[in-house]
Amino acid sequence: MFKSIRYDRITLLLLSLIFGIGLIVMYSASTLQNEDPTFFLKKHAFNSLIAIASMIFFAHLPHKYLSTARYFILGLVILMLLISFQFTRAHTSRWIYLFGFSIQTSDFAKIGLLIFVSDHISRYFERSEKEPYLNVYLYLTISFVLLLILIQPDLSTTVVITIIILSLCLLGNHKIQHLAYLGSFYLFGGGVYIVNNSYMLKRLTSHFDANADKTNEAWQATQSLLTLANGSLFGVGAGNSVAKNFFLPQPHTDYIFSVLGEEYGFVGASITMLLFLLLFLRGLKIARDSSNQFSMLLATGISVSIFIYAIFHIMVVTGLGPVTGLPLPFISYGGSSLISNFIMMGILFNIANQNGSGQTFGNTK
Amino acid sequence: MWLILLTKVFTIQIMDTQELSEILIKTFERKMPIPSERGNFFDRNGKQLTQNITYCSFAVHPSQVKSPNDLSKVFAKHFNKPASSYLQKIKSKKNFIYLERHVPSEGCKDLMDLDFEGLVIENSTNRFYPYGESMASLIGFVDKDNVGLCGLEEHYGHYLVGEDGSKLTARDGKKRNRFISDDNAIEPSDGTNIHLSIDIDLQVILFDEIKLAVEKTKAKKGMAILMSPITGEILSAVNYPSFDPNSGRVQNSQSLIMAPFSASFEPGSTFKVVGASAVLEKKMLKPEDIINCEHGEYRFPHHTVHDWKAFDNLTFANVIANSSNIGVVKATSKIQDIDLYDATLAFGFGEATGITYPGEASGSLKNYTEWSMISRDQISIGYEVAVTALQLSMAYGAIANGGYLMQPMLVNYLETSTGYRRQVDKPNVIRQVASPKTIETLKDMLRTAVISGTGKNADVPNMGISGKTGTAKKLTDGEYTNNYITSFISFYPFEQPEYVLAIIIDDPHGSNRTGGTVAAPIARNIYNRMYNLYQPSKLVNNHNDVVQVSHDTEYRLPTVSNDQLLSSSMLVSKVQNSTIDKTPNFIGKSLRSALQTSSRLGINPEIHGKGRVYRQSPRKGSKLSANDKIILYLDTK
Repeated sequence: MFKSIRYDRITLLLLSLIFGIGLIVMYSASTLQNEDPTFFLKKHAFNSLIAIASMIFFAHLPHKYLSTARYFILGLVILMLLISFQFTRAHTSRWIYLFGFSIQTSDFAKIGLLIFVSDHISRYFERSEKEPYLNVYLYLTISFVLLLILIQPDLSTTVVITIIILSLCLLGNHKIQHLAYLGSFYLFGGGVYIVNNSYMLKRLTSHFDANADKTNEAWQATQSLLTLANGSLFGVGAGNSVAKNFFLPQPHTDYIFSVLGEEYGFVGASITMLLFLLLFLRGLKIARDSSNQFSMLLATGISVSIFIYAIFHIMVVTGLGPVTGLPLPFISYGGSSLISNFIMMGILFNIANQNGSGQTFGNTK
Repeated sequence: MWLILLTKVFTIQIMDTQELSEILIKTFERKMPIPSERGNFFDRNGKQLTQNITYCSFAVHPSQVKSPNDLSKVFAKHFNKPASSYLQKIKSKKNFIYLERHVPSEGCKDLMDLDFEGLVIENSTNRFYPYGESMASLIGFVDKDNVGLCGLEEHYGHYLVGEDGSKLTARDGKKRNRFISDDNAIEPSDGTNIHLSIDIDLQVILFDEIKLAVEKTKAKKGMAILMSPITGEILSAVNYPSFDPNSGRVQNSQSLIMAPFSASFEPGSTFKVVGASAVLEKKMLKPEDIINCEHGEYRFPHHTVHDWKAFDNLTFANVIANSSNIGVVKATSKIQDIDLYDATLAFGFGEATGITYPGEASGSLKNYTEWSMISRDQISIGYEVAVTALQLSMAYGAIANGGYLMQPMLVNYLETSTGYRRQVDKPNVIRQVASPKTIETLKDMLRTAVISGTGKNADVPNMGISGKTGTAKKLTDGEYTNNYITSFISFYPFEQPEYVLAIIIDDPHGSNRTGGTVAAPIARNIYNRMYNLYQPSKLVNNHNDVVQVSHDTEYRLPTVSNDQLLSSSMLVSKVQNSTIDKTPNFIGKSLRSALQTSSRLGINPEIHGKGRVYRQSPRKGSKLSANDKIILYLDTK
């Protein structure tokens, strides 16, 4: 079942650089978040080990099996999301708590949906022209899963996953008209949901109202800008971040890019952004080179997912987007995010390896 | 999209830095004041007359305390109390509760850095006056905001107040102060210390004696001034009744007035030296000339004058020594009004002495052109003229030092926190009051007054005290009543006087109420105690060499260096022993009383805890050398 593979060198290099930067910044940002300054570093290292092991596992697991196991994976995703409602804490059900670990379900649901959507589109690519119910069936399934994530509540993840899936649907030749209907339906649903959850509304209004009280609603956004500005061109130097002293909420997760920008300046920030861009472009190249549509769609979805998380994270941090809690892939602290991203990289490596070796597997047309 | 983001990051980090960092400063940097210490008063020997004691109070917001067990353990260990008592407080339902209040900061330095959530540490500084009542009227006191309310505390307020420093701190997301940037810190500059000419040991002696006498005679008021006739330095100035400056309450508002400087009264017989000086200066009489004192009662053309005792023929010297009113009036009748008026002015009466103290009275003296038929007679025996105890002291100082009226000195120098010293009062001769020959004669007369005259009660064998008594009827509502102001103004030693002592007891009760029976014994007691404290020193330089009198209207001392002045004024007081033979007993004393005791000995004990002293190191009675430290352990039990 497992085969030895050749890792794509460029992807591996980019990943290592991003992950390496992440380790240093995450350590600096988290030192004051716990009595023990290395508390988060230790946990991050542990998570990283699991993440890398998972990556290797999926790199060696031929990704065609993922296609085969699509219903099993979908079932697992829905079951996981439902179970998370058994672990409601402080009105949120985003996590499953097991053996002292907390698993953020939406991170893994994202991979499951990617696999399911890629498979469905590629599997019914031609049939769906004549049999539109197949697409409706897909939309209903996706919408159900997304709804489960939305009511966790995790609006930002829902939005990101929706964007990834809609982009896959576009690649899969779905009618723009249909997608627009779906999109507006989501927007309407999302709008109703936001209005019903005042804290989200506050965050949104604080973002779009330039004169909003800078100390309350927009506190986080303002702090983030100030933190970045403090870095200037070359930064204040490793470990010297001022912001990590509780000026920024969650400096080691939601605002890690601010700390990075503060400690390493515009130089560090732009290099990191460049690495993410290169990783994205490399992922798209792997997708383009892939021999079948499932691999292409999956590779695209993975690349888009990682890139869009990075983009959204930086948008929040730079005040271009509303305050949401999206992690920066491979850099932010957080086991679920780290492991799920490494799993996706594993799948990507497997696809790249397959391209390189010219191997192919039967397209289930 | 990626490019837009990159541009945005660029804009934030490179373009808008200035603007954003301004916001950062405005919003999150706070100027934290670093309090400065109020300047202190010191006596001439460097003994501290005021202290700033910092107290700490520890309180908690019980709901915010995350680790009540740890917190209570820390306090239990430090204050030797069961942890449960603190735990109970921390777990109470109140919003705010004190764990410990008013702990002297020496005892809780290690607690200052505690960083527990919900713990509040408050600092407060209280002014403490170790010499209590004895210095209260002179120094005054401050309110709870450390603002001087009267006396020197008020007068020198703007010198005493230091300038608070500040440091920039940033508040973090949890509203805690962080990032104390030392670069921008402005160090506080403490207030200026004020060094007085007062000798606190002598001040305490004078205060004790005046207090005792006033209480014994049920008098209304007592004042005393001890000054150096050489320099004009005020060594002690006592006002009784006084108040406790540490209590924050003043029972008697009269006690706030520094009467020796601010209260004027008719002096009576002590004033007779002025008329005598004028007569001698005009060479109308010699000391040995005989005056008929008319056996106690004599009708002058316009009024009748009585003596306290029936005298017949007395020499002029004995007229003064025995304080015969008839003799003095007869003697001064030989001079003109203007001569007496000039002599009065020359001795400094009728105008303020210019002491650096708020609210000095100038007394009153009518211009001679307005005098009535009996004014000259009245003034010659000390009526129709109002003087202050300070003016009297300075006038007698002029007799003691050979004829030079000095300006009183109270504040020797100011010393800023940076160590810069500024001299305030300098020895300053205002004028020569009479010829040396006249002054010599007056001195002899005053010595005779103590040896065989009215001042006998002041005599201490072998000390050579000279002085003049005074018993003046008090003028109330325009009529002389049967109440008296008794006084005794003296100087010592006779040859080269180093001290002038003025004692004034206002309205004593009892059968025998004269200056000789009320005030003179106080002077004797004071001289006795002073003698035990300070051996009289022989002047190295005759003060006439030091005080160089020029013939200008103002007699300054430009040729005398500070060192010389210091050495000349240091002659007045001897340095006391640097070792203390017996460590006093502190056990059972309150902090305040322990500090009082130790201040007097010139030691600065280390304090642990609060309440009363239960242990001391070293033990009482053991020998203590200058470098030894006294450690006191206090407890509230």
